[in-house]
Amino acid sequence: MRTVRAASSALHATGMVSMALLLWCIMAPAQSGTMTTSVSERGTLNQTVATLMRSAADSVRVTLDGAPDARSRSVLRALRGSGRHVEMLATRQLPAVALTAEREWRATGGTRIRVVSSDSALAAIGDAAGTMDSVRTTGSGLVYRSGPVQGSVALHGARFTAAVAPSIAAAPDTARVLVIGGATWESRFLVAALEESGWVLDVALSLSPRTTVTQGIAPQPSSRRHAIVVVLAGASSTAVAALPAFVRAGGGVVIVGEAARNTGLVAIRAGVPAALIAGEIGAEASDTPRRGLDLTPISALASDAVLLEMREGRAAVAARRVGAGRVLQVGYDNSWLWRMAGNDDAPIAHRRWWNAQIAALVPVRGPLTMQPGSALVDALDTLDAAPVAALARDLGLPTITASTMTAAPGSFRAALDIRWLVAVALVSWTVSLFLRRWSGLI
Amino acid sequence: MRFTFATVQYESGDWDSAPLLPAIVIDAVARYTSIDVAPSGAIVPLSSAALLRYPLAFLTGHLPVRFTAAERAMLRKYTDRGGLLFVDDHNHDVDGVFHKTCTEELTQSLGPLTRIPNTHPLYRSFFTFVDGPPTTSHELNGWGDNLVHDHLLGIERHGRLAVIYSNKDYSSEWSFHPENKRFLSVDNTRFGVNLVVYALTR
Repeated sequence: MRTVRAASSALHATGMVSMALLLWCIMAPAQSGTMTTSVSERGTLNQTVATLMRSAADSVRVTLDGAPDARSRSVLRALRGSGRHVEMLATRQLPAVALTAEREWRATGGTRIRVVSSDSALAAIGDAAGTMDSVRTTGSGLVYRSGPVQGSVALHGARFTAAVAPSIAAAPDTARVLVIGGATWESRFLVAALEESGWVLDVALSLSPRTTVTQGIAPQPSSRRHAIVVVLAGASSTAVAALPAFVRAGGGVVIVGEAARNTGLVAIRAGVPAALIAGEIGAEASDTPRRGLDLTPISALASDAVLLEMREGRAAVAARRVGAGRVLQVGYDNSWLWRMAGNDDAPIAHRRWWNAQIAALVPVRGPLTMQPGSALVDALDTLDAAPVAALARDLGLPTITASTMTAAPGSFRAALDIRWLVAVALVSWTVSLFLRRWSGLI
Repeated sequence: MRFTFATVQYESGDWDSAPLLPAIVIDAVARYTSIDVAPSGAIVPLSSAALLRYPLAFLTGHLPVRFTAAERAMLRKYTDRGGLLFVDDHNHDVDGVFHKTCTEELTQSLGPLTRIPNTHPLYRSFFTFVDGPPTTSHELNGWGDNLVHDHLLGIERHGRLAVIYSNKDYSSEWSFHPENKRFLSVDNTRFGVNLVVYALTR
């Protein structure tokens, strides 16, 4: 009897404690908690991705001993995107520098490197094989073109260091280019320049309302077949009408010269074509050959357009993103004069210039790869919709899903499960009541 | 920039023996295509850098041809960069002085002349000529070698046709006013359209 009464009292007390804890969970304010972490001088976070992502803390304080590398930046962006407040404190002044490297698709291979820095400083660009060149960084950015690079591209300045692995352009058999336009010298020599650079082309040139000269098998823009479409004056209206959808789906479009006046391109062009300005006769043979080309200046640039080249105060080349794709508007026309009448290097220079314009639009689709024993991946595919998930996959971490998310150990409140508290309270009181009734009967 | 038909002026010989030809070719291109073509042609010295502004040029004559050093150098530069030279023997005579001297000059400057097969894209670039280059009414007129030349000759530079050489005397065949074309049952200038279209699209 005494035992039954003791058990009953114990169960009653258990129920009371459970209810008290339940009330506390409901009424007491949630402890936010702040997690602290740091970024080393090399740019790496001092905690694993799993620890950071599984933390229940509402805020993260990051101490910066160095500029975070690409992976660290991606993790911090993911933390911020999950609703956590991320605060960064630098222990010293960190010069900001941005470095990107893209493999350009040319027959000879090549890499386009872009550098922007808040400092104007001398820096060395190199790859795994050594230093390639020295450049002076500026706030307005610079573009450096090299041949194929080995490993990551590195930038070393007196006060900063940056490194990035080149992102990979689409494989050549998918980077097919479609050229559409009228039968002109410009289209003829543009096709020649691209073919000599190694591009695989489909061509559709209008000769008359009922006659079109074609090369290849697809004279209409196709997202499945073409990576880029180059549109020149005289292109068929049917083909032009397909370009807005093509570029929004991820394709690249180059609008050349007077083709920008086509009404079908109004929605995607970088700006409004102004009146044609004739080139300076003879200048095509000078050191600045594009002064000798006719120019359809780009005026009234779209708000999201980026100006790439100017001539005598007028916008000559501009680009913008449209949906998932990119559009490049080239105001120059009759660039064939540069090739035919230019100086001794003109044919090569003309080819390289057009190759560079086209290569800038090739979609970046290369997968991330980890090579055994190599340094940690520095560059993330910025077009990846879930870069942290991709990074976790590459690092071999288990997939983090909502069902496996658990609170980090040490958080008492987070460890309490309301459902268990209710169940314990109910069971305790029920058994306690039963025992009391039963003991009363005995 | 419009397409402009250019006639080459060279130091030796009679480069201007077919003054009506440019107009007839321009007329044909304008009639059959939507190519923006200048209404009048241009005359360009072979030794001048101005030749580079006309990627298709026409050369003809009756008399012996001897290029100067400057003309040879410009011809080489012109064809290396993608220019196409159409040469027509106004004598339609493979034993004649124009053919012998001009072919020699072209061979020395650019390389050997080889036969252009009659299946070449040139014969399908706009109109279709199943049998190759169309015969002219002058090939069997008793002048010249009195032969039907069933093929054209050409020189390739860097994988492209740089010179098209004809013994068929298109210079005579196309030397009439465009207004007189209405008297022909078959337009004999259609091959001129093929030449221009080929130059613009290949």
